[in-house]
Amino acid sequence: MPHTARPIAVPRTLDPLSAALQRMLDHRHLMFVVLSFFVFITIVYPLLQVSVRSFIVDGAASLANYEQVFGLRRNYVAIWNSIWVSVLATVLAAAIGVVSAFLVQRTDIPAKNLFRALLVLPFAIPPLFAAIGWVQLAGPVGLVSQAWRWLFAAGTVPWDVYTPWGIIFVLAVTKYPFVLITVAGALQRMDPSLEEAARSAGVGTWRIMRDITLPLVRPAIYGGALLAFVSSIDNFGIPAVLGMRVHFYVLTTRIYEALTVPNMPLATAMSMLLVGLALVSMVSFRYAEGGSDKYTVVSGKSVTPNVVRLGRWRALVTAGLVILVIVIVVLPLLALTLTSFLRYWGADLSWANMTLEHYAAVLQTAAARRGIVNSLLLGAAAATILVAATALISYLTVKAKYRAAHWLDVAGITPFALPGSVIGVSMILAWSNPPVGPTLYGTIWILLVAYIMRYMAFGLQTTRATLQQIHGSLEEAAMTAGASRLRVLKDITLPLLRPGMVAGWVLIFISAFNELTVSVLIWTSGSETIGVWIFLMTDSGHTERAAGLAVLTLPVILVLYLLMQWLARLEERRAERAGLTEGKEK
Amino acid sequence: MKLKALIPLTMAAAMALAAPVSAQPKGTVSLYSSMVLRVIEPIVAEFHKRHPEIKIDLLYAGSVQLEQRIFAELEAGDLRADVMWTANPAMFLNLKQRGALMAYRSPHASAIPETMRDPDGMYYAGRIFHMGIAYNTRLVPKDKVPKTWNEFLEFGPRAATASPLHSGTNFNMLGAFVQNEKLGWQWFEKARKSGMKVVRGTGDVTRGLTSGEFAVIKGIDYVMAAEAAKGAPVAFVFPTDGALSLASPMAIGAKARNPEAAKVFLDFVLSREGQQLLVSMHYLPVRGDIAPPPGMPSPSEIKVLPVDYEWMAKHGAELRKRFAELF
Repeated sequence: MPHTARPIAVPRTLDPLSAALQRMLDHRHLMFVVLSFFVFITIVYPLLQVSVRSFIVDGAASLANYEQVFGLRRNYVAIWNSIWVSVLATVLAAAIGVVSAFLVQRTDIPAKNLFRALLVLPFAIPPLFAAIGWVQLAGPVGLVSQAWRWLFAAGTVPWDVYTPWGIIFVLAVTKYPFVLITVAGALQRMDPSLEEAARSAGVGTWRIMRDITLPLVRPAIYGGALLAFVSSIDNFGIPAVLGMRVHFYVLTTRIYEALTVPNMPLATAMSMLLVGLALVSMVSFRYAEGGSDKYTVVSGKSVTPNVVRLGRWRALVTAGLVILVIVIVVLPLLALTLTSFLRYWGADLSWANMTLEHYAAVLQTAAARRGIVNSLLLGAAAATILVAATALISYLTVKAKYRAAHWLDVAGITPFALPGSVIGVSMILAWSNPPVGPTLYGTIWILLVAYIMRYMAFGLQTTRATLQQIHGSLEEAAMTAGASRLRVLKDITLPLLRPGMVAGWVLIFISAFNELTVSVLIWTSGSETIGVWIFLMTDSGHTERAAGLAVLTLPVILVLYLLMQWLARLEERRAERAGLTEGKEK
Repeated sequence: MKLKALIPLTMAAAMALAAPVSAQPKGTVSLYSSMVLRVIEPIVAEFHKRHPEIKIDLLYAGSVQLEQRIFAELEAGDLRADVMWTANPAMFLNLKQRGALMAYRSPHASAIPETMRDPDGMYYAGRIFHMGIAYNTRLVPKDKVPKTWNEFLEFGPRAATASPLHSGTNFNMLGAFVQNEKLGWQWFEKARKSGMKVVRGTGDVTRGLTSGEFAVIKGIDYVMAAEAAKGAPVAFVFPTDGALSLASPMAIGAKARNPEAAKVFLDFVLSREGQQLLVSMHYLPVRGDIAPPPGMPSPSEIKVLPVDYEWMAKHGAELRKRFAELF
């Protein structure tokens, strides 16, 4: 918990009675009640539906499922593997994310906008393809492996994707956008005055970065890293494809065994371990970021951070970034694109093996076209609703110091640690025959509710990280000047929070757009999504068609991302100008 | 043979003629299926042609996902499927015990061998497929193609299978092997020593074979036929010591909203026309009165590993545990 002075709630001139009355009617209580209701409906209620059943065996209350989870040695091995693999993957992802965010946001490297857009793209590759794409590249008969053997006339390659290290690498290069997007948002809003002061005092660039810039974006790094960590322990596809054949199991691959039976209560019991891990890591991250309040220096004065001139390092750093982008962005995209043109998986690269028929098949599928539209609408709706709700929750926890709101924070992050199948089943249980309210299951709305449940964590983490950067001084000043809390929220806090909201929106939108494991359990004909079709085509043995569909969605996501960035910048400039004139008037 | 086959045919014809007189089923049938799209879509399209008054609302999903969905809907008290058609016989046994299926005496029942249908008329096999040995034709010369499961293991780490813990078909395969005296657990112990790879699912094992990472796999006949049709260098053989023959059962939900129309669809799949459509897609027919697809052995020529599904249901957890310890 940060320790700033508690903002004064009411002007001091009020008499004690009306002050007490005003406190009771404080908008924070109302806000808390409304948000609690939202979190209860979208998360707590479905979660209860599925978790209660994990304590019931053959109609009677029982801990048998949990005994089965904790009684097997192989589950402990899996937990340990999940932890160390995810920790290392998160460290690597954070390193890639922080460095690349800094380079594209704060230095004078060329083509920054291009790099920024390219670096976000791996996030738009459906998770299903992340693992098989890397097998296609770096597996024993992969393209990169073949090229290496040909180049160096070597019999073997010096790496092996079928190892824990392969899993860590692939996790890191698919999860770093969490850190990149969160940190880039924070850097965008950073007050450069401290850096400037240090520079004029003769402090070198590296020390400024280490001692000033890095601590300033610490909440954002933690926020992004927590998401990367939870989504690593939660990932099934990558360890399943790369680890199983060498007998390396993690928690999710073990949980999938129970899901196959299907023994949902047992799978839920095992998933509680994932939730536990996620909550423990959340608490440790919160603890680590504890003192960071002293670095909250976004003051709303100057919002255009200065650019670090790389000087003679510029060419070298740019070359390094180009290599990084080729390895983690271009190669996987190339693998995906190649797959969509090859007649069959793993065919030799020759013209004879190239075909357009997969694209023709995709475009002829009316349901796939409907899927693109549905996914766009659902993704945008989920992102907008979530960003609004989570900005307010983070406001309550970080700014309004409303203690009870921390429970909303905890509840909000829990579903992200759950396997998609568990969420899908909880949706069916909750909305097939609800005691009150509409039967959402069987309609397209169930997908929206499911995405809201699954991705609340993204909104919470990004808005929280940004709010922690904003110092209380501006808000306190406004309140001393007589502005109401609501007015302060609307005119000061929310505008400053915008980069965090944009980051959250992008994360939620792209994830929901591609969502697959939950959607495939609850879609109905007419409400197909992209993720559903990518999954169904892969499952039907049309991996190539699924890749084609995924390739077709990339420009859609890219355009939307650029549009968001452009709108955000436009809005920012407008706000800047407005802020300046207002200041003059006063 | 021909005469025998004629009797059910005339019966079916009589039923078909009688049906419109009594009550013309119409409306929407909700069909839950894990038959791959390439197979189920032409069947639905052909059905529409013959019965334009009935609309099929197809909900396709992978085997595992569909089962999760069916059981979750049951748990929530509202199984929404009129017709279910998936690849796992054990699930239908389970659904029958829970009372989730509706009995129906199809006029086609007599044309279908008893092993291919439930004695109480709760479900019928709508299709059969096989798991045998698939190989990469570039890596395995004609004279080196393994004919038995022990020859299969000679390929060491270049042999692979999908995990029975993650794939229903492979779980049935595990049961068939364990119940077989000659193969048994010893086969899996030998496989562990020889370095056979166990990968996640059918997709992974198939991609490994087409790309040449694996030379031989435990493969599924229709999956391999489809890959070969795309031009992939793969082929399928029935091992001489036994292949797994799996029925894909089809059933009507106990609380089906449109049971009469559901019966019409079920009958269509079991009819000569329906089965002929499946034969044209390289499946062996479930009816005794239809010739197998060209190039395929007739059912009597294939040695099949018997599976006792009730035994499997009882010992499932044990099988999984022992396999997980081994691999």
